[in-house]
Parts: sequence; structure tokens; C-alpha cells
Amino acid sequence: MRITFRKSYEQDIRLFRDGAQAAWYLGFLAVALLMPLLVDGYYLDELSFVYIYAIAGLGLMILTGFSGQVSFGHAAFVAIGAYAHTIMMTRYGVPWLLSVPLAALISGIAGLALGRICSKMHGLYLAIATLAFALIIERLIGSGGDFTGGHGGMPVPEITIFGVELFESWQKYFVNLGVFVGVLLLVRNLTRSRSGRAMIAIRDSEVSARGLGVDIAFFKAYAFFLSAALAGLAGTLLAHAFFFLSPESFGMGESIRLLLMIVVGGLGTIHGAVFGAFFIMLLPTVLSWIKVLLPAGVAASSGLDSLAFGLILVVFMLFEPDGLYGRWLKIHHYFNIFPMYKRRSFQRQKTFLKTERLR
Amino acid sequence: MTGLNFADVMQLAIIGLAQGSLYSLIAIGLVLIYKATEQINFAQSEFMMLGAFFGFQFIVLWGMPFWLGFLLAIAVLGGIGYTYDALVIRRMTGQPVFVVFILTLATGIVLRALAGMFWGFDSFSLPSMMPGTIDLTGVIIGWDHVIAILAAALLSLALFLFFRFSRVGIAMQALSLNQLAAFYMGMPVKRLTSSIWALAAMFGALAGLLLGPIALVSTQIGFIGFKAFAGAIVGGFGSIPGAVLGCLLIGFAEPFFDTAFPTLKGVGAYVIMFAVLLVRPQGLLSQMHQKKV
Amino acid sequence: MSWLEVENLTLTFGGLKAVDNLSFSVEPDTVYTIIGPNGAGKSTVFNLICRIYDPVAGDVRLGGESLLSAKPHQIVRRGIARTFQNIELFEHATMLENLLIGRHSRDGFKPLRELFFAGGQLEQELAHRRKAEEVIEFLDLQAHRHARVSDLPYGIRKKIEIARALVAGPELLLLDEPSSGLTTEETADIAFWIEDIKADLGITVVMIEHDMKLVNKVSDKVLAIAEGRFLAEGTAAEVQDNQDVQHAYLGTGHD
Repeated sequence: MRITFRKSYEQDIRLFRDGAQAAWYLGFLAVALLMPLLVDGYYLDELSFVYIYAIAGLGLMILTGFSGQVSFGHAAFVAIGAYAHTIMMTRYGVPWLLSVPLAALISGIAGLALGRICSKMHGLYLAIATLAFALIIERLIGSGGDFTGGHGGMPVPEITIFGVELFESWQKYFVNLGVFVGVLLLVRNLTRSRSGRAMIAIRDSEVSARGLGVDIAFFKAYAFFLSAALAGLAGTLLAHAFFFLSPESFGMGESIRLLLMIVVGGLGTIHGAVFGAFFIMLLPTVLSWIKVLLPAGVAASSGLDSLAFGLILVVFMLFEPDGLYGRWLKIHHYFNIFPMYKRRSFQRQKTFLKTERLR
Repeated sequence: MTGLNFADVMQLAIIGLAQGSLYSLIAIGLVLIYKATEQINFAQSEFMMLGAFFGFQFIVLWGMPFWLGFLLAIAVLGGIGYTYDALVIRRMTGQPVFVVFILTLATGIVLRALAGMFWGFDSFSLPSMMPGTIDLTGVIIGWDHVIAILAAALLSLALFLFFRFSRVGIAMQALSLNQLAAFYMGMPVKRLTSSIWALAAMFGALAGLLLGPIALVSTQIGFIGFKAFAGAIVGGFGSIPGAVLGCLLIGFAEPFFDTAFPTLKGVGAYVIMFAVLLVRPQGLLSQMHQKKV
Repeated sequence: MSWLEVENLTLTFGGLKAVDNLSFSVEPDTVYTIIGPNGAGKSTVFNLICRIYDPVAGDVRLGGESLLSAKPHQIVRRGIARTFQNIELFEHATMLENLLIGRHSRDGFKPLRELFFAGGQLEQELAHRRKAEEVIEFLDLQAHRHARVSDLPYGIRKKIEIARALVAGPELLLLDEPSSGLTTEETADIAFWIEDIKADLGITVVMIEHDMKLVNKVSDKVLAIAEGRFLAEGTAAEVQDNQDVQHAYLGTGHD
């Protein structure tokens, strides 16, 4: 069992608690950097998707996991980022390095606008409002004619940095990895500073957050801005991974998948978004191994993937609402204090229905 | 709105009302559950889908008499709703509302996948309850549309009377005010809650069965359930008359909206919802209040 | 001139008068206690001071300046922090995070500095942390820094809520039933802390309380209200001897 002895306040503020933790994460980074030597292009592309989804997941995590505002329409911001980026590159010749942050900014501003409109909404209202926003955006892109390519879609040019075209899998892999690590740092910085704490305060108790001076509407909107900007950033990368954009790629199913992804990973943690992204990208691969064992009729059915996904979610909600990361913490704890583990140490509190209605 | 004569307007209006009536049948199910338990059932539209599919199975595939198949499908969904609450949702008592959000959303995915595996992912249509049309001085309306409107109106009335006068209905209302107090008063809280889920699922099934002859049925029809959400929100979630009113409003306005703004075809319900929420953030007839400290 | 002045404060819900033409004033560096039967409108008075509700009539002034122009989230910058009757902590955060959120009003919005953790961000965080540690020491909370609030027992949570309010560095502390749900022993501790808060930190305390032992021990002045109306004001003993107060509590006010 390893106990962290804290020797200074900085240990709780710095990126890593101690050398051991730093070593772990640098180890992961090293493995990620060496991946192109270890696996072939197909798996590099898959990993690229993991990083891109993790970026979008981190964006949604800021909104839903930290500030407590649920979004059923985050694919819309991914779409806005992807389309803004592609349109700027192809129609206006904006260089890649400029187009990516601009597209993220545009998406962020769209998020800000939606956030302002929805600043008084909670729970279901917000869920349906964001869903409605996403459906409207999808519809607008679909009927955008030549400008967006409509339902016919539009092709995406390759990544070009200072005149060098990056089209090999490993080249794109490094671009995606680089952006992903950058975003991880930004989000980590957010969680250890005033704005991040303000969001958590809003999530857990609006009334006492307000009492402590948190401007609720402002930080809700800020969360919307950051969240949509990151989703848009993921969209710019996703555009290059897709090669071809069409509004159907960013439909409602995709929004729901993003939300469920961070829930499975573990809501309210940075790890959760990353775990969720790995889960959602690895699930089809794992299922394809399992399918070999199933009778042909069942294995061939196209509903099997979503059935498995839905069932896994149901099981998680029933038995482990803290998600994969929550489960990991428990296993970690189990071995740390072996053989002293008690079920009670993580028992969920039950409360009776506490109504928020006054009547 | 140019190019529409009176008959066209009437036709659109009645089609819209029929559509709105179906939305309100789904929404009634949502609001019933919300009022009793403050849980949101995102699988409600999948209950509707299953209702249509079971109807298809009984009437078309097994050749049962229409009414028998119709009622049987509703009964089956009632059973599914009851069991779902008893086996799954009940375990979530006392958990945050968000967990139930995700749970029902995931259940929806499971039900869609299962339905697709059993019945396929193609669309089909259900036989009509009363084929043919009715001619109202130049306005030609399918009987199916009329029946949808009448059914929704009658059922709303029946539900109103049920909550007003029947013992069980009053017990359910008490439940929605205070679960714990209802339990202490010796009410069978668990059974009542499951019954409400059953009732909600039956309303969903009915919507599906009535929708079947009007529109094509597939695993994707679940998505029109979200328009019922929009309608219920417009009316003010948490009040049944409000939800019905909101759904009728949305259904009624939709065909006109689609005609007026073809670029936004299909998402008119949501645009209207935003417009209403901007003016009245709690919906038209709201029953939600600020939390007390 | 008194420091906190509540003047002819009135609030109605529908036709019901929750607070009815209530006036009182609080001197600096004192403990002022509001007592009254359930539903007397005590918490409503706090909510009015904190701007959660808008009064129908009347005024609330702190140091001569009206609070009615402030938005709810600006109240803490005027020097007022509060606790809640039913604990309103940030349940899914650690105690330390809860306290650091208490520092929110002491810093501005600097998005770039935060996102890149540069330009004095570390120094700023350390300064907040030091302030939080002062309060942790003051209230003996050292054992729980990294514990999630939802895992902690009720008595500790009650204390954390006071700590969080103190971290904000208020001049006026509003305590809404600090002893409710606590054991006799914990209540005795609360009494000591309230006295220390007044004496050592120089913070004025306005408190709503039912436990008369605690009221007697710490209050400099007691106000009794019922049905939103003024009943009596004075020392704890004076108010308890008052006929109207006894009637209000015993429910014999209708003779």
C-alpha cells in the first residue's frame, strides 16, 4: 500500500501529486508516441478516433460533468467545427493552422449563444433544448445547398501545415495526439482553478454557489463556450478522419453516443472522458471477436452492436453509475488496502424522493 | 402563406391536429410518470414503437381479428411497463434523476435494437381501423386522422375523470405529492408506481397503433417521441392539460410551418418550442417551482 | 448608528405575509439571534438579506448602504456569508475544494491565466490555499481535507459549511440553525466556535437558532418573531420571559 505524504500545498495544485504519478503518465505518453512503430495504419486510425472522441468527450465533460448542464445535442458543435473548418479551408483558402482555432472559436460562440438562451433551464428542459438545437443545425446543414454541400456532403482536404501535406496515418496520428494532449492539459488546468471550481459549485448547489459570489449565468455560459469550442475542435480533426462530411454523420444518435460515452467513462472526471472514448472505440472490435462465437443468424444482425452498447449502459447505471473510472478507483482501492476492503466504503447513499417542487 | 386555398388550410389543420393528438398520447405517458415519481422516461417513444410492432405481429403476421390484436398489443405493453418499473426503475429509487435519464435512454437503445432484430429495420404500415375518407365540404380527411383526434380527446377526458373520481386515481395523485407520506398512509406505493408505468406504456402503445395507419412504422419512429417532449415542454411539463395543449399546438402548427419554411422542414416543432421558452421559460401552464432553502 | 439595519421589511407569497413590516438592527462585533416558532419567517429574513427574495417593501442596509441594489451573487462581496438550514455543500467535491470555492469572490475572471496555468496562477492558488488552511486550523478540520463531502458525517459537514463561509472572509456571518441535527456535545463545540468567530476573527454573527441553551450562551441580543412579525427584542432572558413570546411558542395566542 502506497500512501501519498504531502509535504507542501503545491502538491495538491501541481499537475502530478508526486514522482510516481508523473512517471505513470509520462509512461503512457511514451507508449502513445511509440505507437506508430508498434502497430499498423488501421490501428493508428482507430487510436486517432479515440483521441478525437476523447477531445469531444472532454468538451461535453466540462458542460455536463463539471457544470452539471446536460446536453443531448453535442454532435451539433462537432458538426459546426467540422463544417466551419472545411468551408474555410476549401472556399476561402484559410491555412489549416489558422482554420482550426477559428472553427473552434465559431463553435464556441454558437455554444455561448445556446448557453445564453438556455441559462435558466435545467435537466429535462435543457436536454430537450440542446437536442432541438442539434436537430435544427443538422437540418440547416442539410438544406444549406452548395455552401455546405447539403445532404450530398462535401469532401475534406488533407491537413496542410506550412505547405507540407499530412496524409499518412502516422502523420495524422501525431497531429491528433498532439491536440489531444494539449486539450488534456487545458482541461486539467481548468479543474484546478477558480472557473472550474465555480462550475462544480453550480453543479452541486446553485443556491450556495450564488451565496459565495458565483455569477451562475456567466459561468454556465462560459462552460457552454469552452465545451462547444472543444467539441468544434474535435470536429475539425474528425473532418480529416472522415475525408467526407455529411449532416447524417452528426445526427442525434451521435449526440446521444457522446453523452453515453462520458457516462460510461465516469461523469465528472477527466479520466472518464478518456476511458469512455476508449470504451466506445474498442467495443466494436471486442464485439467482432465475440460474434465469432455466436450463431450466424444472431451475429449477422445489425442490431447487435447497439444492443450490446445499450445493455452495458443499463448494467452500469444499475450497478456502477460512477462509470469505468469509478470502478477502476474501487479496484485500485481494493488492492491498496487488501485485505481490509469493505463493501461499505463505497456504499451509495439512498435517499427518499426529495421533491424540488413546491406545492 | 401564399398558394393555399381554404380547403388546403383545413386539410393541413386537421392533419396537424391528428398529429398533435398522437403527440399528446405519448406526452400523457411522460407526464404521468413525471408527476408520480419525478422520473423522466426517455424510452416512452420506444414503448410507442413496440405497441405498433406488437400490433403488426398480432394483426398482420398472425392474422388476429383487428380489435383483438389491437387490445392485446396494448395489454402486452402494459405488462412491459409494469415489469420494467418493478424490475429496473424501482432499484433506482433515491438515485439522482440523471441516472434515470441515462437508464431509460439506454433502455430505449436496447428496445430499438431488439425490435430491429425481431422485426427488421425496414418500415411497414399497420392496417387501418376504418379505411376510407370523409368529405367535409371539399376537405377530404382520412378516417384514421379523425379517429386519432377523437381517441386522444376521449382518453384525456377519461384520464381526467379517473384522477378526479376513482380511488386509485386519487391515490396516484397523493403519491405524486409526497411518496413517503403516501407510504405511511398505507398506500401500496410500489404497486401504484408500477401501475403508472404500465398506464404510461399503454398510452404509448395506443399512440403507436393509431400512428401505424397514418405514417410508416419502423425502429426510427421512436424519434417522433421527442416532439412529444417538445410539446409537453411547451405546455409546461408536469401538468397533463398543459402537455396535451402544448402537443396539440405543436402538431397543429407543424404542417403550416413546414409549408412556410421548407428549409426547416421537420424541425418546426423545436423552433416553436424555443420561441415559447424564450417568452415563458417554464412553459405555458407550469407547475415547476424554485427549490426552497 | 447600527451596522446592519433591517427596516420595515415585508414579503408576501400570494396573499400570505411571510415577513410583515419587520425592523431590527445589529451592532458590529455582536452575536444577534433570531428565534421563533416554525414557519415564523426566520429563514425568509435570511433569504431577503441575501437577495434570494425581493422584498415587497422595506430596506436592508449594511454600513449605511442599501443591499437592495445588489444581485444575489454580489452579496458576498458586500461582506456577507451564510450557511443553510439543510446543508448546501458541494457534495461531490472534496472538503478542500469546497473551501476553495469559498474564495471565489476574492479573485477575478482571468480565463487565459487559468487555462494555461501561467502568469501568477500558482501563487494565486497558493494564497487561496493558505487562507483555507487558516480556517481548517481554526475549526479543527485537518483530518478531512481530501475526503468527499458526501462521505463525511453530518456534524463535520455542518462545520465545513461554516468553514466555507469563513474562507470567503466575511464581516457578517449568517448562521441558519447551526445546531440542528447535532449532538449535545457538538452543539457545545459550536457555541465555542461562535464565540471565537466573534472574538478572534471580529466577525458579526446573526444566527437563527432553536436550541435555547446555545442561544443563552452566545447571544448578545435576541429577537423573537412569529408569523413574520416582531414580538420582542432584548437579552436572551428578557425575551424568554416575554408574554407574547411564550404565547407564540405555546400556541395560546388566540385568547
